[in-house]
Amino acid sequence: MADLVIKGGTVLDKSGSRKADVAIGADGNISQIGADIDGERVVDAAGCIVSSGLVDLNSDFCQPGNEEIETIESGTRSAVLGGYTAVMLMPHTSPAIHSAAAVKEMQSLRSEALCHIELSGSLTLDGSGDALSPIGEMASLGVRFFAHSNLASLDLSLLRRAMEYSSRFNVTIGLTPFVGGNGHMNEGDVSSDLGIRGVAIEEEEILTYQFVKMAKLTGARVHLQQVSSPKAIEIISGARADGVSVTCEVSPHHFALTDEEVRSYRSVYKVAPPLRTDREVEAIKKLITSGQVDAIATSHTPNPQQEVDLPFEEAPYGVIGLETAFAVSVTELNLPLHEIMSAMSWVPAEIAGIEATHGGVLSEGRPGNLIVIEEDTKWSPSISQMASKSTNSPFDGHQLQGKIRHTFINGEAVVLHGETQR
Amino acid sequence: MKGAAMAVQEDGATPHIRGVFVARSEVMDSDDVRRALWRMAHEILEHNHGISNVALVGLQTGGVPLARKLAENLAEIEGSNIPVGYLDVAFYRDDIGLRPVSPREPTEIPFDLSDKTVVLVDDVLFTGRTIRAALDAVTDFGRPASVQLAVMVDRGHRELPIRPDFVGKNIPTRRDELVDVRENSVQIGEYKESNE
Amino acid sequence: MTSTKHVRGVDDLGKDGILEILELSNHFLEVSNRRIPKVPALRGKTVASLFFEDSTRTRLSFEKAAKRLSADVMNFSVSSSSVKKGESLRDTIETISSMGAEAIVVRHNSVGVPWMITEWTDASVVNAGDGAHEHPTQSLADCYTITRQFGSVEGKRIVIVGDIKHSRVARSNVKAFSALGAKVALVAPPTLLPSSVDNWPVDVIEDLDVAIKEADVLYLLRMQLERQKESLVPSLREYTNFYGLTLDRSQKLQKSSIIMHPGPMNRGVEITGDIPAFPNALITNQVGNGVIVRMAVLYHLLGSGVALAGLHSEGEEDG
Repeated sequence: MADLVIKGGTVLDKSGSRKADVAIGADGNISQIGADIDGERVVDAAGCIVSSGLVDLNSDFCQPGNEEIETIESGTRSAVLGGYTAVMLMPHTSPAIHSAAAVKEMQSLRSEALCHIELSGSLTLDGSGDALSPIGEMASLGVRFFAHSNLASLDLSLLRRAMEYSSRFNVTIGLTPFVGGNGHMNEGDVSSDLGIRGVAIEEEEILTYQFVKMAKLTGARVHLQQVSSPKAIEIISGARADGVSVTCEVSPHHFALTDEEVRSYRSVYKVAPPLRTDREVEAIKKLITSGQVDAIATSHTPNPQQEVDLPFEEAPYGVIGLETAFAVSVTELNLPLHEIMSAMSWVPAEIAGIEATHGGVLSEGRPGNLIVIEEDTKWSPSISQMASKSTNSPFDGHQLQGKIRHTFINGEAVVLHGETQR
Repeated sequence: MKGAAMAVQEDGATPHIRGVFVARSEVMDSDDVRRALWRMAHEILEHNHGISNVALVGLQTGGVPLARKLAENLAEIEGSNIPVGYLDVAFYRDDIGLRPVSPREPTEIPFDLSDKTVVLVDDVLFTGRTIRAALDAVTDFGRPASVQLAVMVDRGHRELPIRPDFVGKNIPTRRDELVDVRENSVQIGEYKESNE
Repeated sequence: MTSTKHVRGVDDLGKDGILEILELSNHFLEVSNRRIPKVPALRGKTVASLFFEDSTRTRLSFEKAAKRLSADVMNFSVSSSSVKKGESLRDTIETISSMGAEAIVVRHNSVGVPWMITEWTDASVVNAGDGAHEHPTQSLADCYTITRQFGSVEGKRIVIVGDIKHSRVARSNVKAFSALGAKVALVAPPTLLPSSVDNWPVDVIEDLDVAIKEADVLYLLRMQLERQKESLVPSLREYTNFYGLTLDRSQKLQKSSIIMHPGPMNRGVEITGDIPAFPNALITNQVGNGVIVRMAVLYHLLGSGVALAGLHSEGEEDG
C-alpha cells in the first residue's frame, strides 16, 4: 500500500505519455508508476496530466534587502501555485550574491521556501560590471550559474575575462542582451507617437552577437536570458550550430504582449528588454514552436506598489509571472503540451544543473517533484488573489487556459486544488 | 428667426435638442406683429420723452430681429438713428453646469452704455431668468442710467421679480406649452421629438 | 455638442471638439476685449493647477483664464509645501480632489500622467504638458491663431521646424493640424526626428530653404541647449546655419505667411533676434490667444454641461 497515489491521470515525460497512476513512497520518491495502484491517501488526477514540476531560470525574491516587496516565502508560494517545483534565483539582491558568505546566507534561507531554490551568483562584484566576483569560491559551495544583471553594462574585455576564468569551474554564465537606462520601451511607432525614449531591437541583436562570439572565442557555456528579438534567436541558433555551448530563454510576456500595450501608460508593461511589435511577437512564437528556443523563464520581478503607481518613464522595469507563466504559454503558443513541458521543465532543469531531482524522465526512485495539470481549464488570474506580495502582473484579468491543480515537492502535496497547504 | 424644421429657441439662450415645434394655434398674424412693433416704438418714445440717450440691446437670438425692427421704427418716427447692440447671455445664466449651456451668437455692444437708457429687447418673457442674466451682463459693460424691458410676448409664470415696460401681447399659457415668435406670426404649440 | 470630460490629448477632442473650442473661443475673444473682461460663468467652481515642471507662463495663462470665468484657483507647485516631497502622485491627486477641485490642470515631465490621474479623481483633467507627449491647449491656441489669420486651418501648408523628437508641442500640433485638414511638413536634423516619422501624416522636408517657400505658416520650435551636450547636434551654430530662421531666410517667406513660436524663444538660435517684432510674426498673439482658448477649454469642460451629458433639457427653457 503506497503512502500517496496520484490516481487516474495521464503521465507525461520526456519518453512520452501513458495513462498511469503514480505512487509516492514515505521517502518522498516515486515508488511506482502503473495501472490501478492503491494508496493510503489518494489524490484525484482524473482527466489531468501528471508531469514533472516546472523549473524557472529567472526569478527575484528580493530577500535579503527588500523583504517588504517579496520574500523567499511569498515568492515560493507564488511559484508552487504556478506549478514550479524549483526556482533559480537571480543574484541581484541587496547585497548581491557575490561572496561565499552571501551564498551561505541564501542557503540558510531555503528553510523558508515552499519549493526548491537554486542559487546563482553574481558574475561581477555588486553587479557593477567592474570586477569579477569570487566565482571559484562560490562554485565550490555548489553554485553553477553566474548571472550579470542588465542594469550595468559589461565591457568586452571584462566579459572575455569572466568567460575565460569561469571555464575552469564548469559553470554557466547568464547574460541579458539589454542595458538599462538607454530607453524605457521598444523604439518604434508607439515610442514615436508617445514621445518616450525607446531602445532599438538592433541593440539586443548586437549584444547577442557579442555574447555568442565571445563564448566561441573562450569556450564558455552561456545562457542568454530574456531574449525578445527573433533575429537574436537566429543568431543564437547559428552559434549553436557552430559549436558554441549556448542556450536561451524567452519570457511569456515577450510572446504574449506587444508594445501597443504601452499606449495605456501603465507601468505593468515596462520590462527589460521591452515588449516588441506585433511582427516580432509572431516571429518569436514561430521560433518557439519550431524548437529554436530552449526554455521559457518568467523573470519574476516584484515591485512595491508605490512604484507600480509611478508614471511609465519613472517606473522600474519588471513584472511578476510565476503564477501565470504556464497558462500564458498554453494559451498563446500553438504547441503540444509535451513541447511546453520541455521548455518549462525538462530543459530548464538541465540548464540549472538539477536534472537529477527535477524534470527528466519520471520513473521509480526519482524524487516526487510533480504537478497535476488541467490542460483545458479556462480561468482568469486576479492580482488580489495572487500569493506574490507584488501586484505588477500584466495578465491580471486575462482569459487564460491551463491550470495547475496540484503541486508536489519531494512527495509532499504543497498545492491541492489550487490552494497551498501550508 | 429659424424655420420650423430646426430647434426652436424660446428665449435665445439654449436650443432644444433634436426637436420640432409643432404649432397648435396662431395668436398673432403678420399685421398684429407689425402693429405691435409700431405701438411699442411709440411707447418707448413717449416713456423716454424722445430717443436721445436711448439705446436698444437685443438678446440673442429671439430679441435681435425685434431690436432691429424697433430701431427702424424709431428712426422712421423720430428721423434719427439709435444705437443697437446684441447680447448673448449664456455666460451669465444661473443654470450653467446644470444643463448644456452654450453661447449661440456673438455679443456686440459697440457703444458705451454708461449713463444711457438701455432698453433690453426679447421675444418672450417667461420665468424672468434670462432678463436677470441680461441685467448682470449689462452692468459689466457699464453703468446705465436706467434699464427698461421690451418683449413681444409676456406669457406669465414669473420666477423672479422682473416686469416688462413694453409688451406686444400678454398671452396666458400653460407651463408645458411653447410660444414661437416670428417676423410674421406668433404661435402657441408644443414640442415634439423629431423622427430623424 | 461633443461630450468631453477631459482634455488630455488632442484625440480627447477630435476634429469636432477642436472646432467647437475654436468657435467658443470667438465668444471669449469678445469677452477679453471688454472693459471688464470677466463673466460669472464658472463662479463657484474650483480649478486646481498642479505643476510638477516649472512654468510660469503656462500656469499664469490657465490662472488668468480661470479667473476671467470667475472660477477659484488652487495652485500646487512641487516646490511649495502643499506637495510634500515623497508624497505619491496618487496621494496628491486624491488630496486635491477631496478639496473640491472640479478641474485639475496638470503639467509633469513624465508621459502619460494626465491619463493616470483620471483613474484617481472625478475631476476633469486638462493636460498642460506631459513629457514629450502632448500639450493640447497650446495646439488649440495655435489653431486659433491660424484660424484668425487665414479663416481656417484646412488646406494650409504648415511647416514645423526644430526638435520634433522631444517636443510635445510638435506631437499635439501634428495631430491637431492634420485633423483640421492642413498639409503639415516637418524640417529637422535626422537626429531630432522620431524614428517612425514616416508613418506620421506629414511630409518630411530635408532642406528648410525649400520648405520655407511653400509655407503658409512657419512654426519654429525651441532648440534646447542640452541637445548639443547630448550630441544630437554638433553645435548650436550648426543648427542655426541649417535650421534657424535667419534674416536672409525670413526674406524667402511668402508675403502672406506667418511666423509662429510656442515660446520661450532662444533668440539667436532658432530665430534671429529682430524677427519676433516683424508684422508677420504672431508670437505675442499666440500668448493672448492662449488665455482665450484656455477659457474656452475650461468652459467647455465645466460650464457647457457636456460632462453632464446624461441630463437633457426637459423641453422648456427659462425665459
